[in-house]
Amino acid sequence: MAILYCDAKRFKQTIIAGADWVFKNRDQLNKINVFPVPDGDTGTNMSVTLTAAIREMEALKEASLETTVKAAAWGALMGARGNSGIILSQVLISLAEGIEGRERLFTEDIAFALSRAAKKAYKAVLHPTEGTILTVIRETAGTAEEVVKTDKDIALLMDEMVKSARSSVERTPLLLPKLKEAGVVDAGGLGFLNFLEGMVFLIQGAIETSGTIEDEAMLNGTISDSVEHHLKFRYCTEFILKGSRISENTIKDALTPLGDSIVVVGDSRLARIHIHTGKPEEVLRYGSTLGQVSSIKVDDMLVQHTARFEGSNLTKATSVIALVLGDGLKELFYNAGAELVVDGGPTQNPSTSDIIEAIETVTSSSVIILPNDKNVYPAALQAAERTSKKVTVLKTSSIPEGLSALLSYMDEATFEENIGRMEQAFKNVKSGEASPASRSVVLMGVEVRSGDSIGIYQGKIQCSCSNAEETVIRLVESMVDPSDEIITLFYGDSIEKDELETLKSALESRFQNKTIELCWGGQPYAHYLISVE
Amino acid sequence: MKIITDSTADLSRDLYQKYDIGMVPLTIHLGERTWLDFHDIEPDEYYTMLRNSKAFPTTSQPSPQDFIDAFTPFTARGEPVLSIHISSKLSGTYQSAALARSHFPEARVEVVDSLQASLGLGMILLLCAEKASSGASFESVVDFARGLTRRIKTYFSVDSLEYLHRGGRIGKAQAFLGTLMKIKPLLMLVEGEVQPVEKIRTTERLLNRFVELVENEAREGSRLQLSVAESDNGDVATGLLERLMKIPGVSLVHRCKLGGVITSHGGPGTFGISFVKA
Repeated sequence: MAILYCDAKRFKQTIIAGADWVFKNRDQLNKINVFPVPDGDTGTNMSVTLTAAIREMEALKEASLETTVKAAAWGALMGARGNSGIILSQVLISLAEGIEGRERLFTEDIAFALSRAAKKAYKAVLHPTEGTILTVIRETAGTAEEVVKTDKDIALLMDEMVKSARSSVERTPLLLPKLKEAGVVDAGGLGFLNFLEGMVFLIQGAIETSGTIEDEAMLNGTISDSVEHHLKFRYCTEFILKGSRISENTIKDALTPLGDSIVVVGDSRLARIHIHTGKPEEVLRYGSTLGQVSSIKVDDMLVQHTARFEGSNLTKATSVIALVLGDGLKELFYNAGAELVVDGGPTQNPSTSDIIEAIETVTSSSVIILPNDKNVYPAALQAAERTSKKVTVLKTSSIPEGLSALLSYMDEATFEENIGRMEQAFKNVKSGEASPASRSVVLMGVEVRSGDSIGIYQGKIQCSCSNAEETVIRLVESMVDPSDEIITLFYGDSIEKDELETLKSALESRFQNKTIELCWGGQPYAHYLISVE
Repeated sequence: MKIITDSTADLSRDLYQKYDIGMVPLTIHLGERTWLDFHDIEPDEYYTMLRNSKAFPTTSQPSPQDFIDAFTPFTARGEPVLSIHISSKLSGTYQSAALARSHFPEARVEVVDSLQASLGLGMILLLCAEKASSGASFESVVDFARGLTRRIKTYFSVDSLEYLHRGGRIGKAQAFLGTLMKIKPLLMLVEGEVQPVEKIRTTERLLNRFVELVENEAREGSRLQLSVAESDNGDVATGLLERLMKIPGVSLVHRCKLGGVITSHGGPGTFGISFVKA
């Protein structure tokens, strides 16, 4: 028997039947949940979402098609839990769009709503991944659109949709290696298939529905939590975090008290973070403690309203680019507030286009560049002239100068203020280095033997000794004034730990009222870079 | 009228006596031991104790009952009470006092969130006490106090951010936490919260910045009232104070030692200044 339309009563019964079949399969869905994280809650999430939809429909006093569909959509939206739940809620929301004044739904309405839902769902998810419920909904929508071109029978349409969804679900392991490894199909996709199957069972008369849900225990427990929970965590908040040592687990732990649906993807330098929270400002504040926060998006999931924080003080007025060689030093520069650190130094001069690219990459249109090397400065200057951004290249000619400048950079200060502060700062630091001599020579009156470590300060060779530590001590002696407080050594990869310890204690006994600090620089060329301030 | 505060105002016994200001102490816990701030332990004693302790200190706010007890003698005889407390962003003390206030629906009790701590709070109290003793009405002193909470600027530095961090009072200054090199953080209180100002590496430059901040404020020929405080960092504070007092227009309200509660959250070696345009 053909079904040509769906009215309020049928709609409700169908949704309940679909939901019922999801409830029955809940444990199975939980069990096969491996993507994006194997947290075993897909079945529960989808069940809770659908329960919320049903509860809203049942609370209606006057059930027109419009109020019924809207109630289901509202309930699902409010109760949506987990990615799969949110995606599922998009289907009901899409059905509710344009429902005003309608008394019946036809095949086209269902097909088009599903297509809209697929599009929305792709946008709703942080990283749309094929081989998930997204694929299943998209492909099912495609089939539905084809079917309605020729057929007006809802029963037939639903039947075709189920077939399409099933084939789609079966193919999910081919699209998503994680599923294949685990030997499962996608849980969310299967949940969606279950939802459709339940509806078709009703249409085919395979099950009876009384209009109520069996699973009362879950209804009473989880659902009210869930609605309240979503009122609490109504802001879908996303941003990109640039920093150093970004730890996924640390971030997740720190954000857990602030919300749910937390997704952190990326590496230790660049991560994308997604969370549903009641306090987006706290989340962003936390993010900004870890590094540079950009591409901020905050959506109110209740009103489907997008507010962008553009122009607020969350975006920096000024971006700093530093040119640095050595993993340790790069980390120090990121840590001290550089937005982007580009490889560049004495043995590896960056091209102008490398620097232009960096300028275009950073978030602010006002950029300060720290070249940190005399040979890098010209390229930086050229790059500065070839971009539309406002760029100032500071004349930092060493790593200690660059770091000093960077430490006095402030997020809150204006571009000009920062330039002033940073210029002032790097002039207050003295830098020297102990580097290997590549050949034997007498330079500036100092006899250098190949393999020596030469000590350079103020552009002059101050000393040359057979071991780097001795060079450092003699060099520091020539650098230090009574008013100086801190001697910082950035050591290269070639330095042994024992040598470091010995050097540190030697310096400490030689310069008793100074603070000696050792930092791993990892620079390829110099044994030690030295700052005295 | 009676002015009442809590022990985080870090006023000396003499000042409490001189201005007849009531004080409700917070409690300090270190290892197995517990003290009432400024009652059971003097700042110097506590600095030594803390430097030698392996345990980490915690503090607890007075209960509402403590404040009810403090207010009652005055409300009973109809004397208005002005109760000014440490920033509610830093401690639950203000909340306890505010709860206590609701027990006296008929009485004139005003509870003020100073948005300050320690020397900034102390400064508000001393300026209010002066005003009250000059015969100003209760209402005008209350207004004056509330105005001061927004006008006073407090800058400070800590030896290590560890204490602020572990005590959970670090606010936005968390941004400085992971700094890989040793820094002397310049911090300030903004709206009652700790905020980072600048990363500085040497004490000399840090002190120069303090002087600069006061100079900038005094630049337009305005008179500046200033307070200074430190915990176990007396020489630095003395040196700084000498330099600050040479700036034209600057007058000293008071100098104090940070008490046990504030030191528990800033750590030994903390020092700071508060100033306000007169």
